[in-house]
Amino acid sequence: MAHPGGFRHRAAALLQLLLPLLALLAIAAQAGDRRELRLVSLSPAISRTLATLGLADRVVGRTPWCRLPAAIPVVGDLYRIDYERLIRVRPTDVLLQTPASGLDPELRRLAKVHRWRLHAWPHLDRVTDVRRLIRELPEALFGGAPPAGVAARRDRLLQALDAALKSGPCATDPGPVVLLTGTDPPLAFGRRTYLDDLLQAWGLRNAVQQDGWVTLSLERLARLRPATVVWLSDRPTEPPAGLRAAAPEHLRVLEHPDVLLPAAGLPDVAQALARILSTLPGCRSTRTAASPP
Amino acid sequence: MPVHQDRGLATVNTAPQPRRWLALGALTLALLITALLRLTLDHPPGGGIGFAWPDPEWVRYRWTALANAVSAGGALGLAGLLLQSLLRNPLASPYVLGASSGAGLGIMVSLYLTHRMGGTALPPARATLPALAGSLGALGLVLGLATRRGGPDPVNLLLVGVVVSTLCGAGILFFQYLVPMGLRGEFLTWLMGHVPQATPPADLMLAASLPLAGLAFTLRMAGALDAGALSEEEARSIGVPVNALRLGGFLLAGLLTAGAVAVTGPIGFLGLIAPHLARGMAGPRHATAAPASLLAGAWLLVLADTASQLLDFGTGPMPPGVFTALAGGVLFLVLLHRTRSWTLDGM
Repeated sequence: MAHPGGFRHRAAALLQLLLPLLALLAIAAQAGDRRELRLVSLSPAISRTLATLGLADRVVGRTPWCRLPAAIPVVGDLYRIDYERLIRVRPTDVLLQTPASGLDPELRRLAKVHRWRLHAWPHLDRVTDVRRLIRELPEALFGGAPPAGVAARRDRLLQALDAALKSGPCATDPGPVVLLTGTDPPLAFGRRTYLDDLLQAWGLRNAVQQDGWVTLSLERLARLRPATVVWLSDRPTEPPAGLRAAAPEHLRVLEHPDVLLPAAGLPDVAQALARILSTLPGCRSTRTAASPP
Repeated sequence: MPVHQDRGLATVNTAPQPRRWLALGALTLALLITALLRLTLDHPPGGGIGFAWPDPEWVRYRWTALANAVSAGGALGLAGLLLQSLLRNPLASPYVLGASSGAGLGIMVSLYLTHRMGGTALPPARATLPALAGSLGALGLVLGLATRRGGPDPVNLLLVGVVVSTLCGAGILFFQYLVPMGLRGEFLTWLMGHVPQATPPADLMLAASLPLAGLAFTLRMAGALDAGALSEEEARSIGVPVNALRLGGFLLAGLLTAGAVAVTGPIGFLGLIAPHLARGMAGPRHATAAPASLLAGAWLLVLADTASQLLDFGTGPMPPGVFTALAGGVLFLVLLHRTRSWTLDGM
């Protein structure tokens, strides 16, 4: 007959052996996850955010419009995916914005067959969407415990975004602002867009009251009577001649590589926009207002 | 030595029958070789171009693209032949007569309505009906406006076709303007035209059955179409039901165009080039010109799709419609020049 104390002793010894082994396995699995992470991004905004979080070296497939190293293969874009190329880059995770027509059924099928993780963000239009993307991206890729470097970058980004929203450029109202981009006729950032959110957070007025991106003729622009027109471009370019002729004294130009991307570059864009708005005649800088007379 | 008596499209081909079969064989061989190229042309991500039998994991995408190109190209080739024969006009084609734009407008309207009702994009099988409505509507309008003294006037036909095509294009832009920015991008991408790599099997079967059914119908009408190509009076005098033939032919051309546009989006000028190539090789008799047009259309679109895989400037494969439009545009100008001389000569 076996001694009960002997059985307990053997069980404890077994546990002592097993527990470190299990811990080792868990660590190895986590390390393996990180080592094997192969990302495909089908959205320039998501690619920009991945790069800011320090994950650009994990990207193995991109769209033609993503600002990532050219050596990373193009596997299509949001509307047209090259399935063959997608399979051949062997992703573990595919990141995208959900198209208006819904997720591609073939992409869903492939994800199921190859056990890819699909991460789709329904909208990337507003500051809250950008914040959610920055917050959720590391969790989606690494589960609850993203690597320390990624978590630190995420936290810094979120803090920078909060800070950018809190500190507006003007203590006084410089009058209605119009934010334009595109060609002639230009597109205006209307209500419920990420740049409109910045204006609202700073207590400034967007002259365009419609939702989304609105095509604006020069006549409509003149009728809005904006105090300032800010021309936004992600590359060095001149505003259209018609715009320069229509609003020469109110026109400001903001060139920033991230200005047209609702992504992780938003805090930088906010700073650049605030700098431009703070030079307006009707704007008394918040710094001046806060400092003692 | 074969003798060709040129009477516009009513060229009487006295070429021996073996040569016509040889032409069909040559087109089939060209299609098979190009299909093999499309299947084996390898352009790995980040690598150079080579040839290799594809991995079983992705070979299905190449087969699907091939099947779509064959069925859409074949349908457009056959539709072009029907329109050119029925209208006795070498410049007629689904693209020139507004049938492609009409089909595109039909699809855009249905996409817009689906979006308004909270739905998602239409799969090709469900897109065929609105495309058919648009295609037949545009063709009917062109014929109605271009017909004078009982028959369509060739010059009017082209002018009205261009105008209706432009109107349909304006309609497409209008619906693009109405949808939100995200869907606008999808509309624009669709307008570029492409050969899909993934299509549900049922849709693929439907797309493939259209040109086959069209071919069967055209072969059945071949004798009447041959006679109809002479002149309306001559055709009537030998008992050809010209009106019924025309109506059936236009319906079929509209259906074929709709099926093709639903699969690939607008692919320009394919319906113009393919019948000319087919008649040049196999002669004008519809018993051989019809299968030859189908084969030529299929071959040209597979060729354009293969070329598009080769030309990638970092933004993905070039839309195959770019190649067909380039080739077709040049051919159109050449034909227009010849037709003008032909008209001035009093033919």
